[in-house]
Amino acid sequence: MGKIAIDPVTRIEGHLKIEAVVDGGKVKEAKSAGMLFRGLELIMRGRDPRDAQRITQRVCGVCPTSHSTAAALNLDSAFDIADKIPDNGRIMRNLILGAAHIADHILHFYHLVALDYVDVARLAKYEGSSPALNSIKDFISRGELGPFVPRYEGDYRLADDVNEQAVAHYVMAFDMRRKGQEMAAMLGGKMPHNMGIMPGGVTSTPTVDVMASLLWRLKELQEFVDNVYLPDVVTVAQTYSDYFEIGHGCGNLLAYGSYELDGKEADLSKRKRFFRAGTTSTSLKFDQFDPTRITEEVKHSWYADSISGRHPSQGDVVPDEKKKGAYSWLKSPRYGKTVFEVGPLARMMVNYAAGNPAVKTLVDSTLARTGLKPQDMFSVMGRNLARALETKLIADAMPDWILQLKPGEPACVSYKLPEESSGMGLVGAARGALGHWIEIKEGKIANYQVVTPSTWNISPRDDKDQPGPLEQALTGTKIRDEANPFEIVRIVRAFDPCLACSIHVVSPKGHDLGRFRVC
Amino acid sequence: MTKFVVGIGNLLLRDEGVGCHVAHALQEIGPSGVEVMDAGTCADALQLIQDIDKLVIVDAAKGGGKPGQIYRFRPEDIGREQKTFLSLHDMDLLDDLTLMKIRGDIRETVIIGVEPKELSWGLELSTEVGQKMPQIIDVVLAEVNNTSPKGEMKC
Repeated sequence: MGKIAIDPVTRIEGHLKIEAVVDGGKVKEAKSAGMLFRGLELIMRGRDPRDAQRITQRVCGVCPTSHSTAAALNLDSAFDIADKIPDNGRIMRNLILGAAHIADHILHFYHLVALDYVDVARLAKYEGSSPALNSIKDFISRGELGPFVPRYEGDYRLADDVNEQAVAHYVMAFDMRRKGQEMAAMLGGKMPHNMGIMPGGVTSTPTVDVMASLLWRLKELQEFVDNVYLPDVVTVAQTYSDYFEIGHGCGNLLAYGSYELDGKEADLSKRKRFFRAGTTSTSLKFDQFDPTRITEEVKHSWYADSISGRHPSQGDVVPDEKKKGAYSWLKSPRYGKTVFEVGPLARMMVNYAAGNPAVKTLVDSTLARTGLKPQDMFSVMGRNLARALETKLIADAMPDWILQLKPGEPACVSYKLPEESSGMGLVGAARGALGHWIEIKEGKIANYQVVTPSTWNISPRDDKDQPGPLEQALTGTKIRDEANPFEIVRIVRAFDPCLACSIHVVSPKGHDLGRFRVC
Repeated sequence: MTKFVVGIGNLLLRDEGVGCHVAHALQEIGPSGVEVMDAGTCADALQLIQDIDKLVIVDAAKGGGKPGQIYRFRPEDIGREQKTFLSLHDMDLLDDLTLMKIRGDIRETVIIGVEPKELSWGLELSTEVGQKMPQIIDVVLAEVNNTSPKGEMKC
């Protein structure tokens, strides 16, 4: 029996740590842990509620746009203006979030997931004339393998020509990522950490010039998604089709819903959204979502047991770093005291189960092409595929949204800061269900709680000792070679985990910067 | 000739955000011919930039000096440690700089580091680092303009 620990934490303080106990070639038990105390909630207290949009964005360098959206929805509800956001503001928020999600999903596939399946190192022997591929070859020949190593060896299956094409797309994806970010910046003022999304709407009004610039960028992104990204994901999925049988997970899926289609309904759980809220499971029966059923449990987290089982609106942060049996700084969010997975897979399958026509058509046609059943989506490759399908759905919906903008009309509404109020902001972030809750007293933040998608997916065992979604997805997995446990990293990466940004202080060689002193 | 100053760091962790504070201050000054970006904690923010002659990165750096100590070094002076990428958060400044070279559009990179004092939760710089801000800005401007820092500096 051996233990495999994957812990990038050794270098930076506080990231994701995975521990898998392997017995007889199989994962017998797995633990996923967040090794960073976040405590963001503690600095929110006593501040102006409007600071939430600015501050919470800084919790994450990968998904700040989703945090700004959740914070704005949260404040809209606390300020009692959730049914008064002008259409321009509502749509521009959708476009900023959509552009960020397209860019994010492309980045995740090409620059993180693809490296598990595409063999970049093979390009060292490339002899063709493609400038992109030669740039990779030169890069490797300089000995700068950078993010391509270390890696686990022994399972790169793509044929040379397919592999080369995928590497060329890897290079192309940088530019696509950039176009998505540019779109978000045009509406949000800047990227990363946009300034545009605010309670009441957005800070700028649409112009014809901006609409035209958005449309041509979007056209390029759509072409990339249709002709490059989606086909690449399908190729990888077909070549590694055994990964539709690996990493099944807890089998329960939860989506909060995202992209507002209705500006007049204040209640987020009733509002019409492009991806609807709900839950489903492997039976594919759709159930309505009820936000009051969310709790956060801490039996196995380094927090005092007295705060366990609370709804996030009543949540608290009472650290207890010496607690026995605890192994993570993440709490365990649960829905109806049951383990639920969140993310693009949840959004696709919840909407599939609910009969959302755009989702159903695309999922069915993709499954037919690959000869799979809907239940096969509950897997490593299903998660990667769902992310690509979602990207296409968002990219295809956005041109209409752009054309619905009305230049010259307002994009935000004024409001009065309440002395006492509470609010809730729920959105489908790139990585899954993201919730913000606020309580305002005497015009200041009395309590602010953030429950991120990765807290759901990477959560430790809960009060009933039920393992979290990633832990369940790892358990039972056959490991072909303990020295190269690529099954484990492929399962983990397909979840697109994202923990709070930790301290990225640069530490030079030998920790001695003495010779570099300026003054 | 494109010159870029990029401030990186987490604004929520006091001195860790010194790069962002410097970027904000430079945006107020608006130096001509220099683009300034607050990249925050966005791991791949540098990918948004193309065709740079001179890139000056400002970040907190633990170098063993006194709080507020300013360092000037280059990416190759930093030791690269091998790690397994599990999350996009595992991508750091060096990875980002390395990936930029695939496209070959970065000619000179200098990192201006500032020794932090406080890395705890909070939005404000420590007194020591806060007092050093004018000098840090001078050093960054001098770097980007290839001149010596102006005035007398007490170190």
